Amino acid sequence: MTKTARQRPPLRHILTSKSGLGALLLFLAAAVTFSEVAKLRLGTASAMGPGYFPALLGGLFVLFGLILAVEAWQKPDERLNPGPLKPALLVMGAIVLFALLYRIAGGALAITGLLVVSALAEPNRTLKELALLVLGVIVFVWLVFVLALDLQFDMLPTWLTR
Amino acid sequence: MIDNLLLGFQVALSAQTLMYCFIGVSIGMFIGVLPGVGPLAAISMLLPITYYITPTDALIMLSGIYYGAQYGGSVASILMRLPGTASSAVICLDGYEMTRNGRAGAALFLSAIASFIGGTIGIILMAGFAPALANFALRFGSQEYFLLMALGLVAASTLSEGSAVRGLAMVVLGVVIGIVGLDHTSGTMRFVYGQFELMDGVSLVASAMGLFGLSEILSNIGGRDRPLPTEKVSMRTMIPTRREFLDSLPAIWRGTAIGSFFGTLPGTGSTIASFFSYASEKKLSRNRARMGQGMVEGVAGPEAANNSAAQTAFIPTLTLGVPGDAVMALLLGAMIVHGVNPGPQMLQETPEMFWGLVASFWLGNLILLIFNLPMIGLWVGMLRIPYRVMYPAILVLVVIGTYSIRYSVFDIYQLLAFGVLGYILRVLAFPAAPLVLGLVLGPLMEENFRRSLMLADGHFTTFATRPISAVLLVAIIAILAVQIVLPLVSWLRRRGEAQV
Repeated sequence: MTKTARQRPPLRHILTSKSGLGALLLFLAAAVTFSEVAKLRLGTASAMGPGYFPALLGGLFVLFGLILAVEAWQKPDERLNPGPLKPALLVMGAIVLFALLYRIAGGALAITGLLVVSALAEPNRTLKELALLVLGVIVFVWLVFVLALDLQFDMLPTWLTR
Repeated sequence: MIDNLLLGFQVALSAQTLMYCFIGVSIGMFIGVLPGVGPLAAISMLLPITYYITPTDALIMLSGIYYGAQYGGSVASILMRLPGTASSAVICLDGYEMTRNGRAGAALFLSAIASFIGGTIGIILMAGFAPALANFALRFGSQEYFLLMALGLVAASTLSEGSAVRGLAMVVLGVVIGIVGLDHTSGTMRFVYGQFELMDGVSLVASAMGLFGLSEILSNIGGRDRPLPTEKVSMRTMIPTRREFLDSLPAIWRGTAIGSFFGTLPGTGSTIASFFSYASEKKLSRNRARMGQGMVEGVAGPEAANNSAAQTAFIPTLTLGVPGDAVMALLLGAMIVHGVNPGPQMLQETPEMFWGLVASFWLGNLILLIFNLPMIGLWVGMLRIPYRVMYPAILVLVVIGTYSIRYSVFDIYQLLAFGVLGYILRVLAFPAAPLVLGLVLGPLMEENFRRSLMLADGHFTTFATRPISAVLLVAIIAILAVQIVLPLVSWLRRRGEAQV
């Protein structure tokens, strides 16, 4: 038995290891960078165009991506562990909801939506606690952002107040 | 020097400025106590507010958060064995043992004293060396600036934590994100994809809040609540014994020296300083055999080290415009946003700002020393607020804060994008801090790179032939060699042996 016949983990493991996916991420970044560079003028070292510096950066992405790929190939490190995905997705959704609601329904409702949806991410809380939280945060935002800092944050929808 | 300091205190002692200093150090102290929220997240979240106050007040407040967190960080370490900040992790070892021995009060008291001494000496060094360094830096050309920034980025991304390649890759990603928008030299749009909101580049606030505030929530949510503090600390137990006091003094001096040194170096900073100080106490202190069993040297030394490092870290940031870590990069970004150009000219152009900062640092340390101990009960009480109540409220502040900078819903989507990016990077074990360093320095680096080669008529040798830049280039190559090539060679050798 030779040592070179040492067992390689299956390709699937390599690709889903942290360094394998990391390498893929860097290659993706390189692809995005070069596709943008392709639209830009390169110029020369003494008179650089807008594409010169980004092209160098794209090259670095490829270099670091290759190093990570070799690492992944040689010893695929820990498998990916993203943790519970559902709570994270709920929080992301809550932010989108805020952005959409703010224009049409005003800040107070948008804050309520953000709080209620993001609160779903951590269960076992009472309705009373949530109601107090919503009320407390709205009052706090109104006091600090609207009254004290005088920001243009519309609590009510603008179509109602103007 | 005396004149300058007088000018500084004149600025720092005005009622309004003093108030912002107080707010900054109080917030810093609190988030320092709070495990999981570091100065990086807190400064990102407060960036929006600073758009409404003067640049000097803004910087004084944001800096207060940074060094205030160093004071607070030790509280959770000592009382709960939970490091509030990375730099106070090492204080858990002997600090928590002291709590178990019933000496929690003395540990907190001596750590406040050590912090104050370390911080004060760091500030004196800053006042003494910054002007000389700035004078020296006035001779720098674009070549030196480009390499200095490159050195800062390479050092910060490879020396701190985790794999060097991952850190460097994140720097590059940060630089690419940093140059999004209008290229002023050629008038061309880059990486804008038709979104006119991106013309001025990505928003510093949205990116910092997304990467450090939002991604923190995205990764922690659904996890367990943190343990609640149980220890009660009375004022009477705070008085250290004569023995404890005498033992801690030499540790404080050693820690201060170590911290002042590592603070000025790019990429090392307060965490490495406190670990180094603990290691040196284990070798040098009178009680070295009993370190780890609740010796005050293990608290006082690292505390002095991380606070002096937190102050001297401002030296390269303010005099050269080259930040040593991500917090400094954020402060630098805030200065640029406020129209202040950090760098050697700052001392001459806006002396009141520089010396005001120096004076406010010392006042801030004084405030921390005086208020630190009485407020501990309050902070510990706030730690009892469960995470499930905290995070939705933080989320609202982050979103509204981002929106309010230019009243743009687009910026909320930017925030979300950076939050998701930060989450993905964390899952893939990429560090986010070098990304912010790259993001802030990216445009400056490109500008200096362009100008260097334009002046040198396209000859890349210009970076090696000027004396100062040659030294910098050697330093960069040395770090890269030690961090990347050496591990590679030893790995190949091990592999070679395995083959035989």
